[in-house]
Amino acid sequence: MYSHEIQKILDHGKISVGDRILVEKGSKSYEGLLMPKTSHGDEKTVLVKLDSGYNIGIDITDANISRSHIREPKDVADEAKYEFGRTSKELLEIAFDANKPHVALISTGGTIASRVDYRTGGVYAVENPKELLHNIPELSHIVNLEMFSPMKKMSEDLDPEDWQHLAREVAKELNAGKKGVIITHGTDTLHYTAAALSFFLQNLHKPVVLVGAQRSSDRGSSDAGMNLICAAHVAVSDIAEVGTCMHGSTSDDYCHFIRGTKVRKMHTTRRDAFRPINEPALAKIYHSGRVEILNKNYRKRDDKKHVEVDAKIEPEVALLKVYPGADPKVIDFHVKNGVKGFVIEGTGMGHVPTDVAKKPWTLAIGKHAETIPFVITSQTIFGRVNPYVYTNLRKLFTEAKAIPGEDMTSETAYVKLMWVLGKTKSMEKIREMMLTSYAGEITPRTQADAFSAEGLNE
Amino acid sequence: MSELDYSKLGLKCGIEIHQQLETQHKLFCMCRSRFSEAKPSLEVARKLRVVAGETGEIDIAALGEVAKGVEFVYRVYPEESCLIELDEEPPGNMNSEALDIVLTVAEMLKCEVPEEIHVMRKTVLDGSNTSGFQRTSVAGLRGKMKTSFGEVGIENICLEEESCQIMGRDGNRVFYGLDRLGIPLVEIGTSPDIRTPEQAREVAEMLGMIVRSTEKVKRGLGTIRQDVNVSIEGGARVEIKGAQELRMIPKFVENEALRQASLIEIKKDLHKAGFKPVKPKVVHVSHIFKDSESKITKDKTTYAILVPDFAGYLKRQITPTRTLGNEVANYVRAKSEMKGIIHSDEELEKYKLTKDFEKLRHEMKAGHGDTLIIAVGEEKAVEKTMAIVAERINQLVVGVPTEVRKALDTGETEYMRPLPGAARLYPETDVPPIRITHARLAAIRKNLPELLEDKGKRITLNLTEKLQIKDGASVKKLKISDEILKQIIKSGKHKLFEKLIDDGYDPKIVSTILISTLPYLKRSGVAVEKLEEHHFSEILNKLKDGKLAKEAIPDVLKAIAKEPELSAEQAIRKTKIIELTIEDLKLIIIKTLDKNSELIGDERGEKILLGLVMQQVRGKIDTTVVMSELRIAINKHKESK
Repeated sequence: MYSHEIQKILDHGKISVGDRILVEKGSKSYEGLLMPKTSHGDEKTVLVKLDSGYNIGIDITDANISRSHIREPKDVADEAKYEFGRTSKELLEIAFDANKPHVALISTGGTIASRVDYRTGGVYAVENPKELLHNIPELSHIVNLEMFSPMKKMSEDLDPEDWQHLAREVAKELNAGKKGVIITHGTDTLHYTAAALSFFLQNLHKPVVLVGAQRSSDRGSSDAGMNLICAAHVAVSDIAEVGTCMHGSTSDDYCHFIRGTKVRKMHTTRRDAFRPINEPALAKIYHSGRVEILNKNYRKRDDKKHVEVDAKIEPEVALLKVYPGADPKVIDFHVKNGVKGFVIEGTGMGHVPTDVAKKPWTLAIGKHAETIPFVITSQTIFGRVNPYVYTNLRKLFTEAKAIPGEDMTSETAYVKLMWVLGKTKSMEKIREMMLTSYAGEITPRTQADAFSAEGLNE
Repeated sequence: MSELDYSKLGLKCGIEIHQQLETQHKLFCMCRSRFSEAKPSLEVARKLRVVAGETGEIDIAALGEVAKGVEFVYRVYPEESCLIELDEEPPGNMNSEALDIVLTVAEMLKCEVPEEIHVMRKTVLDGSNTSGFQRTSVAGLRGKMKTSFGEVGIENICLEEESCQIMGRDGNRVFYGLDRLGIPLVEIGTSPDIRTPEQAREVAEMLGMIVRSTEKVKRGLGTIRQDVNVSIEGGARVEIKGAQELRMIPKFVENEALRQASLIEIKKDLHKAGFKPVKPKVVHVSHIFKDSESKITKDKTTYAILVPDFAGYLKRQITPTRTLGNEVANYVRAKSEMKGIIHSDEELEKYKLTKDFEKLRHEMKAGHGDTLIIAVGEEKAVEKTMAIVAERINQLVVGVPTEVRKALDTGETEYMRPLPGAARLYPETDVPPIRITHARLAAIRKNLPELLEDKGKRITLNLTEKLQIKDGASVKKLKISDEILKQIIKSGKHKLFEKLIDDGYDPKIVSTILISTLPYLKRSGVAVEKLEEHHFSEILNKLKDGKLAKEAIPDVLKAIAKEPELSAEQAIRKTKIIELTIEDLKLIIIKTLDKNSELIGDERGEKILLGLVMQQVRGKIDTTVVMSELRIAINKHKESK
């Protein structure tokens, strides 16, 4: 958006973005297309795309801006049609093969469904999910896709209600006979949605594959293509689990299908940001369709079964992290504001500051022990919380009655606590449920290779 | 073909130079901006996907390698590449050191500098950029330069990131080094104001001189690249990529002008003859070649097409060494896997195909005015090939195609790919725009570097004064030739030269070391940049004291470059130069004279004798000593007779 001052000048000259303009400034003049203002950049400049294709910013102080009367060169004009989206032709229909397995693709938004407007550089949501597939014709060799888009949000903007909505859509598709469901999704909170669907979709016997992209699909190097192709292979496989399917390494060689309750985004930008925590990935998926099982602990496909949605939740759950000097007053603040349960990310095996510290969390937790559940996970990310090894752990788990989150990730524990609180208010039942594995979120034993030296840097 | 009249042809030519900058870090990250000498620590394999625009259109220039399903393998060098080169992290801010250099060049070429610089993405899908695009920005517009043929406009000066260097191919895999990716690069493009081949060379040379004048550009092979844009009246813009040597530029322009003129001529003739576009109808003709004497076609699947009324065209010479047939075959090789075609305009005898083509002509009912073209291979592949052949032949009626051609060492060019459209540029939103303040520009203007050309003149004057031999009051003569002085200045080693002659060393010896020994050593892979002034002084001292023979200097320099902490003394010992004593030398000379006494007496014979002695003592003792000892020995020999 241009500043009020510039917008006034533009309005006065009846100039809008995309018009060919002439900017005169002293002895110099510039001609080109007026571009929309990027989010950064100087307030006093207008952005002009020259006929060479380059953009430059021109300070409008002492400048005269008018519509240009010179026709733009033909090749530039042709490009405007191509890029401005005004003449967006009907996309070529991808001819799907009706004999291929029917799979639903649900687009929710995010980088994988983002498109750069080549002219302006602005990022927009893909209006038509087919546009996404247009670049990946290989999909038609694997599946017969049916696409729809119930929401268009970047994943940081998703609410727990969106998980519920999504669960119902997935169930509807699967019960209508689809072989599997692919969900395209922003990557930031992909693992929260994956965990939520893992709990919400009960009696699941078909694959539900969440896919994101770390590089937007408008660039040649996008990971979206391979991720989607591998996701399609998973969607028709016999691995009937909710999981994520994205790059397994920085090369374009294979994807990992990772259980929805055990996955975490572990890097801000890398393609292989998604890693399994405390268990191996379920499978390695190659572009060619080869599926290499890494973890035999998965449900098998059974197309006769019906999936049920069990998506009732108590959204008033808080996820907190302790750290040296952290003030437990935050707990009372949340309780006053109606929070019904806490997940606290402790240090090491699940420690919080005790009565030895200036600001003891054990006491603050113990104060609410009879009415509010506190589930403890670890900020080490890998490994299991232990309630007994140290005296200080006993203060937390025995005296203050906190619930050890076993080897669940904090994010999974957070989603699970919402789901459990949606079912029961009984403190005993809550504890029992939090310690029971419903969707593979707690592994009874941790294999050595779940945290090898290469675990984070394969 | 006779000498061309370029103004009559309407020759228009533009030069584009790409020069790597010498900066601490890369353009968008903190990696070392240099070629790696280490082994790669990792290889990452990627594929690029063709991205269709909203309308489903695909930039033809973009296709290339991607359409062929090529896998790109990137070699990771830890010091010179990070997650940004790997396309695993967004770029950082633009390197302001690099921007200052480019702004300096823009000011030297009297360009307008945009008030705000915006980084763009240019789609590149040959794998040379991991992201699938190159980041580029325009930092200067509408400049100008003077040449001896008139003024030439500067269209754009851009600051962009260098691409990966291709390191090899293995079937469907292309190997790239990530170290070069992201090195800052200045691109200067002139307007099509150049009118003669010689002017093109001058412009390229001047632009190179101007960027080098900043003293902040990389030197050496591959650090500067020139592209030449050529068109003539009625022709089309053709971009010639990768002209490495300046002296070849006029040849490229000349050949391209010729090629376009020939194609225009062919177009006219085809029009006159009423040539109709050909349909590539492929006919299976293996049976004709079944008993072929030619290895090319014997027992192979062979297909043919007939081009009516086209006889003679394919053997037309379109440049001094290439026929239209070569040109068509070149398209086939560039656009398909097929190695080539054979046509009836060729010298068929050299393939032993004359008889077979006669049979083919009969079978296909072709007249003598028609052309037959065959290709060997699978039906699908041949169909594709013949479609390319037909497309190129039909293009002849339309005119000169606009395209990118590759510069060959011979001065010829060959088809590379279609010319990319401007559609390849879109904004890089990950890098914030940069406001260029008046203060920044003012500081740059105040500190514009002296042009190397002017500097050269100044240094020449200064050194000339120093090197003059005062002979009487007026006679001025240099201790070294003008030509050598020029070379010293061009090599950039004039400061070292000046210092060494100020210290009293022989200008002739010093200049030989600087302009012939060092480049020779560098070519043979010696790290001469490690040699410092004190190394040279030490060696020159040893020479002065007679502790080192001139001939051994290269070996000693080589040893020091390898281990710069060595003293000259140690290096001499290390190179195992066993110095000959005069006594040893005398012995060798006497023995040689005794064996070859018939050579003594005439001048030629004595020269041969010197050669024979030198063979045994080269590098172990100074040649002048050998010469004088030999003279003495010969005289003695004569006397004793």
